[in-house]
Amino acid sequence: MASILIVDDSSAMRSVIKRIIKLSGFEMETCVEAGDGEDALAVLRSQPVDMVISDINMPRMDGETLLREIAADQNLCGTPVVIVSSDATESRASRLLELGAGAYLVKPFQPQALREKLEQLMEGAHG
Amino acid sequence: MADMTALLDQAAEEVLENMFFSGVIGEVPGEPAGERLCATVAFAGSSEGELTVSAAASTMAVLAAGFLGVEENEIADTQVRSVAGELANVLCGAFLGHLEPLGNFRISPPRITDVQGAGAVRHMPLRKYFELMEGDLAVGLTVN
Amino acid sequence: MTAGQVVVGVADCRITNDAAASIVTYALGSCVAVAIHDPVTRVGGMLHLMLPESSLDSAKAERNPYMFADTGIPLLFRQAYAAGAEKRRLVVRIAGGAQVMDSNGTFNIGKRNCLTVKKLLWKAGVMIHAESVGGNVSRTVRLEVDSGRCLMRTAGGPEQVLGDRTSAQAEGSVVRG
Repeated sequence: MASILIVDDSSAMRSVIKRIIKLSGFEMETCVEAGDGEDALAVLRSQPVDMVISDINMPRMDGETLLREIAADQNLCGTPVVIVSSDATESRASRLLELGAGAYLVKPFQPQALREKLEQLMEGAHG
Repeated sequence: MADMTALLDQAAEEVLENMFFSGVIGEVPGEPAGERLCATVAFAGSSEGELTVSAAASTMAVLAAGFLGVEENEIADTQVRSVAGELANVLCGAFLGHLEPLGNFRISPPRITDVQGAGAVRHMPLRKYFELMEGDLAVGLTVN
Repeated sequence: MTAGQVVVGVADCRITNDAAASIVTYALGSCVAVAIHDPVTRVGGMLHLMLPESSLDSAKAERNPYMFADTGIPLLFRQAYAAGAEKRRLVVRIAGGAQVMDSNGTFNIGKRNCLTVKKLLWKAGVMIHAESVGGNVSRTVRLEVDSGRCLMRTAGGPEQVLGDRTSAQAEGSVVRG
């Protein structure tokens, strides 16, 4: 049983990610959504979350800042984070992977590409 | 400017094929008159500017249905508008990634508008009028 | 014909639960093969489609729905369910959609077939497990019903397993991700 937090200011994108998770057959207790980094942090500090899938460009708090906050919080720093973003620059990707993102997937992506990233991370988390 | 046109073509092909299951089949001479649904994002950082996408609402609805994986008659107007915004966002990101792969950018949340009459992108320095399987898609770009 | 081989022709579809069988289709150029397999009930199916949308020729679609993606794919799945397959278990792979006429075709039928197949599967709530699409090679695809392995060969080349991970295996495949 797992809880995944989806963070993106686009409700359309959150729907697509939820759909991919569901169709991939991952055992999911809950899929929680947040529209920006601030809301995401509030969720992370109030309930257990097994994985975060986050966009970068969002109002109030962007994904890079969220990742820094997660890394700096000793209760949250073990949470796997997948970044899913329209930012296709190599500079952003290397920076976020160095900050501790478990994977970086550039939009546009095919549904199976996200499934594969999630599978890899879940396999890694369980050894 | 010629290089940017090629980069925009490449970005449009990648975005439309991978997330919308659509494709560019040609070009049309301009934006047809009538009501258009438009989405604009601004970007800043290594370069700054704006990107706008514009299409008939019916075309956006078909694209949105493909994106979300639903039938066209199941899709709400709010969802179509959200998808239009995401199209602008992802297209902008793909373009900037080709333009400056080592650059640093921030992309603003999209602004969705309804524009009457032709010319939502008419004032923008770089304009492409794509013909898709679903209809036409106009893209305007300003890069400073 | 090799014993135990079920051959799928052009604009054709076959389902079998014979564990000794392989389902095979040849010479996929711009056509697309959709291969599906239920590893529990060992039901296998394959569709070899030619064109994306039946609205292009409804009379033909009525005579042979397997010619088109939008009429053939639902039939492929329904027939598989009737033979004992379950949707949530199905492993789905696609191959083909090559550009075969000329190598600078703008929006060629192979690509259009591919996009339509992917859109239909996505809308139907089916994930693709592996694909080999695009480029300008002709492909032959074989599905082993017992093991569920899907093997692909391009003209003159060796048979390769169409992997569990999605990969752009064809030369010059356009679609990223």
